[in-house]
Amino acid sequence: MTERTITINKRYKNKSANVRIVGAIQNPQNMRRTPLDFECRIDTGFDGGILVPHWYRSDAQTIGVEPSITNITLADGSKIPAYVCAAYIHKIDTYTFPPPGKTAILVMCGNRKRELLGMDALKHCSVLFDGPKQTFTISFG
Amino acid sequence: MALTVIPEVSESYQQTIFKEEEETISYPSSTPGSQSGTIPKPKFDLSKEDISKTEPTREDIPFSFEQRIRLGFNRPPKPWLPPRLLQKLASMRRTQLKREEMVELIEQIAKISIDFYQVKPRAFIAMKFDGRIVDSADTEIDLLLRIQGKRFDMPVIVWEAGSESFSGWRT
Repeated sequence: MTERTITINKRYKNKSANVRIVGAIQNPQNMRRTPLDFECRIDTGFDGGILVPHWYRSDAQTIGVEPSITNITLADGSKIPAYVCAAYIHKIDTYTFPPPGKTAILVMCGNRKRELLGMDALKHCSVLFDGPKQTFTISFG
Repeated sequence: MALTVIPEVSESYQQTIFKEEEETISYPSSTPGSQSGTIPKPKFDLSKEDISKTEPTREDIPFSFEQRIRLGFNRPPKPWLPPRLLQKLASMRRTQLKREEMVELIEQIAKISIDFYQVKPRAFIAMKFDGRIVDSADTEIDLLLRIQGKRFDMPVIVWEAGSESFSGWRT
């Protein structure tokens, strides 16, 4: 049986590769969940899963998940404290992951609404950036 | 298993250690508490022109944390932390720490805990602010899933042994 490869081909938006993410933070103790649905910029320099603004922490707290504290490194090499928890990605654009979804590290810091999709969330797919054509391709398979 | 040796430390022994530390205030040289202000801050010679405008920086705010971080816990942590750290933790009950102070505090607690439990490099641990390890795993996501939704009496720090930060940008 051959594995089927699903490919998403998109154009850059505002000079960056953006994809829509649908997922959830789930509390495994009580199975409550809070949905995640936003457009992410693919950031190959970010080795985490998904980066979201700090106010997502209160969303996690509403289902009984208290995000843990850790230090993360910024692009300039400096370190800042941030909150982290686990999340499930159900969909990246049109591709749907098999249930329960793909686990990813959700990093909560900063106050600007600019979500990022990092390398950890993309480690099972291949991503090709075509700079001249301003397009990118994500292949799942 | 991520941990090699987890010595069983009874409550009475921990109190003894704590008492001894209070009385003698002497620590092994590997304990950062014995060296005040020993964690070096990285030096950067970058000018603003060196950093691309599209690249997020601290000035750019996207990843700036809340200016002040409040952590509320009612019981003072006790076991083997040096008095300097205990004082800082106690002060957190009344005031809020600055971002830089928080980064330094997390690093110091993680170092003491990793040294004490002899955690192998590349292992991921979750520890309380008193330095006690509550869980460990071989990957970040496993660790987060294991502690997700569990209740602890104080905030939990997640850390990778032998690393300077849990996640972020590759430099």
